[in-house]
Amino acid sequence: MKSLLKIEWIKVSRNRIFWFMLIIYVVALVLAFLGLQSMLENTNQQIKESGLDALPLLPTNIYLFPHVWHNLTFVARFFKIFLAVVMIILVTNEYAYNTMRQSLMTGLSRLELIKLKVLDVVILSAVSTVILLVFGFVTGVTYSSDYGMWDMLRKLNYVGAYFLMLVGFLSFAMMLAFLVKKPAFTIMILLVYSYILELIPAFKYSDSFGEYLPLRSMNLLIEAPNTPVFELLNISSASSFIPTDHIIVTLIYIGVFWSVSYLVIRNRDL
Amino acid sequence: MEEFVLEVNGLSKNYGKLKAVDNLSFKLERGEVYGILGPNGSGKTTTLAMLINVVLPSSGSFSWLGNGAGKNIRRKIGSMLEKPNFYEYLSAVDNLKIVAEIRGVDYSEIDKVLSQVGLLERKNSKFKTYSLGMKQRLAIGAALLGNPEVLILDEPTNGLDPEGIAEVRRLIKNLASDNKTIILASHLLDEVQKVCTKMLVLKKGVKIFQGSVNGLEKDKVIIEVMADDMELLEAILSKSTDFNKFKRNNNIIQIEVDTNINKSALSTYLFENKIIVSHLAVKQESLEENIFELLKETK
Repeated sequence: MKSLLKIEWIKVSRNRIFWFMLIIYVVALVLAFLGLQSMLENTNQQIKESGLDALPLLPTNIYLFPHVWHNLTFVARFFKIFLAVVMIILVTNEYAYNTMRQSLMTGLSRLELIKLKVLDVVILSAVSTVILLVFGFVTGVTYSSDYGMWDMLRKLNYVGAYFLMLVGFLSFAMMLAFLVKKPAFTIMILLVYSYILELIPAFKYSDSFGEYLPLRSMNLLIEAPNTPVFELLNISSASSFIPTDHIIVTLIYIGVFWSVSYLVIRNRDL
Repeated sequence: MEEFVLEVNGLSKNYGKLKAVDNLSFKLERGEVYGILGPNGSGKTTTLAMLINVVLPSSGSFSWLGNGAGKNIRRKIGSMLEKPNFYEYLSAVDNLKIVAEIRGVDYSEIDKVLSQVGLLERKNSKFKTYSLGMKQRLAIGAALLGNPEVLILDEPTNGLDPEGIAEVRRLIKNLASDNKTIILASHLLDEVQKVCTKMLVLKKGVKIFQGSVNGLEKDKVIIEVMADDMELLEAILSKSTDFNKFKRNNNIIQIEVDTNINKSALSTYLFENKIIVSHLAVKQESLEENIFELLKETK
């Protein structure tokens, strides 16, 4: 395992495109975390200036413990597509340089080829989760005035769910990349599937299997926080807990995505 | 130590209707330099790719070092296949570090193989800045890393300049004297002849010859004979047991003889039968003609 990690590190550490895309993702994520606060403040300012007293002021205390965890993970949910693109590049690079063939010749097994990329999935998810944790702690400590240990940790399960959701989504992207081989085509399929194809049955059959479709199920791990902000943004579904059935379904999907990736590589000439 | 490095049984690969490799069976002995010879598209690369698990066989099996085909076996086999496959944005050293990690070889070995293939000075340059010849040499270097018992080299001199070709051939000979088993695929007869001790000739995925390079050369010897009375000569030759394979071309007869038969045996035989020979010459067929004949025969 240590040697597999080292192999991936050698590949990734000098891959400029990888770092460039990862930095863009991190910057976008942090800006979104920061920007949400000023967006809300700005909207409040406009409400005050307009003199419409009937409109409620939006809560701007989104960084308070313990709600900061739910708020940040919900915002970060919308940025996972960028991380998926990074993941797709990491897999399709191996096809582009034909290096899976070289690795096999050198002595890796086909299963190890998959393990390398699963490592990428887990590490990328962990990086994003750690950034969220750090940001959450810093802003939480800065903005909350009166909090105890319990307040800090109470909704940390959202961060766990966020990690699981990322592993699920990136595993899906990895599987597509192994299947499709070409980066642009893979990204296209991921976008069309995520934003169009799956949404139709997901909503049409929302009472039955719709909510257990892969991406829908992952997204339902972190639903909109129950605050007026999101009600105003017309996001109606709101929750204050993580549904166990979606945790189980997501775990099953992750198993399926990894297995399909392995079957693709096991049965293909490289 | 087992005698055979590799045993192949009925290996086949079909691409749709095309039989790229057709029911191939052979055994390779330890310490020999094997040449796999055949025109382009004869299944050389497909065969080698199957032997190192890159391409999945349609049927058949093989076993390395008497021990199957698993990944631990592959770590004892150094191979390069067709074109070199490395990360474009990594230097030669970084690319070889990945190979070293996979094989469990110490990084200190990397400089050794790089100097063996003459890339030490450019070791920190990115792979994409390399010329085709340098890329090819890096692939050979990767195959050498970890001092494997068996080396598989697929067209190793492809893209090299004459100096590079000579260097690679010298390298192969050095490795061979190290008691390594080397499998070299090539469409160049000259290369096989210069480097290999044994060879295997493939045509359209079928093995049409296996044996020693020298053996093929000496298997057939042609003796040309002329005599005053050609009809009598023909009649006498037809009656003999050793010299009855011949072709007549007007007033010259070409006899195909086994290498172990001495040419004086022929002249003695003719003399005993009272034939005066006006011309008698041994014409050894070149390897090239032999191969050409082999390839033609199986049409």
